[in-house]
Amino acid sequence: MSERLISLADALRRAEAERAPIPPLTDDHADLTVQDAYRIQQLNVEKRIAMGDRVVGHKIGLTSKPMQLQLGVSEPDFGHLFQSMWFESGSAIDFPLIQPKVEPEIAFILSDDLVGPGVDLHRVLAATRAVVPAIEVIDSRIADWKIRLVDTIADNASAGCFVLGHLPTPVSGVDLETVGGVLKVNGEVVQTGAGAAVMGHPAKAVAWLANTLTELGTPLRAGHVVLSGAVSAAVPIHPGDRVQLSFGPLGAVEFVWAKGAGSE
Amino acid sequence: MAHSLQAIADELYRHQTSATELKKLTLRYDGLTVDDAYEIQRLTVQKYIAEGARLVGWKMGLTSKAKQRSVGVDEPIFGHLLSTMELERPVLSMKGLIHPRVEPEIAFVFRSRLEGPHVTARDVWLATECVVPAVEVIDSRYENFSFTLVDVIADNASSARFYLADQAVSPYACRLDEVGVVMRVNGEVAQTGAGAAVLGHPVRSVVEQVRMLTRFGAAIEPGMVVLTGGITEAVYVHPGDRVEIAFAGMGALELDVTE
Repeated sequence: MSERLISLADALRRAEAERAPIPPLTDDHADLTVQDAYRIQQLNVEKRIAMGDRVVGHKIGLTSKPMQLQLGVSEPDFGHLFQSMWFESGSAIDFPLIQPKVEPEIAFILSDDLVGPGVDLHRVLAATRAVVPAIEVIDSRIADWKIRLVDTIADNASAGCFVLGHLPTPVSGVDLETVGGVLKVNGEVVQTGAGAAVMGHPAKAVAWLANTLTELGTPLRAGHVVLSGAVSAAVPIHPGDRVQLSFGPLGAVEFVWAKGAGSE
Repeated sequence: MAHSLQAIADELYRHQTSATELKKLTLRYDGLTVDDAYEIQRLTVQKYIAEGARLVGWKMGLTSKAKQRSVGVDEPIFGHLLSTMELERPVLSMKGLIHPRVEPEIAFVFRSRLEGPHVTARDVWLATECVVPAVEVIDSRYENFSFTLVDVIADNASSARFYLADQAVSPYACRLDEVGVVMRVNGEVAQTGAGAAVLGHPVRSVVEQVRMLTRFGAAIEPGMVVLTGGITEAVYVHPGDRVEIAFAGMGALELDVTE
C-alpha cells in the first residue's frame, strides 16, 4: 500500500475525529483513481474495526441521474455502515458530524448472502427479509461538500449515521417503485420522492452493490443492512431540528438532531 | 399610473392563441398589483368564453414552499381551466404551445358547490365526488419561462392543457399525502415525489383554492375539476416524447407528445 494512500486515509480520519474538514483530496492528487479511493476507504474501515467497531452493512450513493450527472459518473458508489452509526427511530442523536444533511431512503435487511456475479432485482428481493424506511444523515470530511467522485468514495461515500424505522415490512406486496417518501424538518415538508428515484427501482441498486462487492471479495452477507440510495435531494440539518420521514405502507422514522450536535 | 387592464388582457390573449412569447408585463407596466393581475386573467378568460369555451374548473400553482420562495411569496396562486384546454385523448400536440412542461398532479372532481372564506378539509371531502390522476401541461407565454408573481397570475398561472386519467378513485382509497408518484420520460425516471409536496396534503390546496376564489366572488361549482398543484418539478417535453406517470395506489397515465 502506497504511503500516499495511507497518509490520505489518516488525513480523512483526523478530519472526522477533530471535526475539522479538509480540502478535496483531488486538489493535490488529481491522479487518484476510483480504485485508489476505495483503498483509502478500506484503510479507514480496517482502522475502525481494529478500534472495536463492527461493519453492519453498506450504503449506496450516487443512485440518481441528477447526482451522477453532477459528479460526471454513470455508476453509483458505496460506503460501509458501522454499528456505532446505527440509531433507532425516536432517538435524540448526538453524533459528531461536521456538515450533516439528511436523505430519505429505503433500507434492505438481508435474510441470505448475496453473492454475484449476476445478482439481479429478483435475487435481491428473494434474499431480502424486510425493508424499513431509513433516514441517512450524510456528512463530508471535505470542506463545504466540494467533492468529486474520488473524494466522496475515499470519505466512506460521505456516510455519517443512520436511523431505521421500527416496523420491518416484507417486500412481497409492496411496490418499491412507486412507494412515496415524505421528508419533514420541524413539521414542514422539505422533500418528497418515490422509490424509482433510485436507479428505477431500489433493488437494482442493491443488485449493483452485491455484484460489485463480490468482485472485491467481500460479498453481502445475511443480516446486513443496505441503505439503497436517496429518493430525493439531501437537506441540511441543524442542532435542535426534528426530522421525520414517512414512507407510506413502509411506516415512518424520526429523530431529533440533539442541541449541541454537529459543528456548533 | 392607470393602465388599461383590458388592453393588457388583449395582448396576453393574442400571445396565448398565437403561441408567441412576450416580454414580462412587469418590465413594461409599473405598479401592477396582484389584484390587477387576477383582473387581467379574468378579462383574458372572458375572451375565450366569448369564443365558446366553457369554464370547467380551477388550477392551483406555487403549491410548494420551494416554488413560493422562488418567487418570494407565501401563498399559492390559481388559474382558470377551460374546456378548450382539456385533452380528450392522452396525446399532446405541440401546436399552439411555446415551451411546454408537464407535471403530475392529483385532480379533485366535485359533486357539490364549495364557497366561502371558512371552508375546512372536512367540507372539501363532503363535496368531493372522486380524485383522479392527472397531468398538467404548463406553458408560460413569457420569454424563457421567466416571470414574477404578477406576470404569472396575469398569464392564467401558465395554464395550457391538462389530461385526467380514465379511472377515477375514491378519495378514501389511500392517503393522498403519501401517494408516491413516478414520472418517466421515454422510459427513464425524470421526477419522483409524493402528494405531500402539495401544501403538505392536496386537500389543503382545495381549501386554499376556495378561500382565494371567495375573494373574487367565485366558487367551485358541481362537476368542476381542481388541479391541486405539481407533485414534482415540471419537465420540458418535445415531439416524440412519451410521458408515463404512476401514482401509487391510484393508477397511471401516459401522454404522447406529437408535432
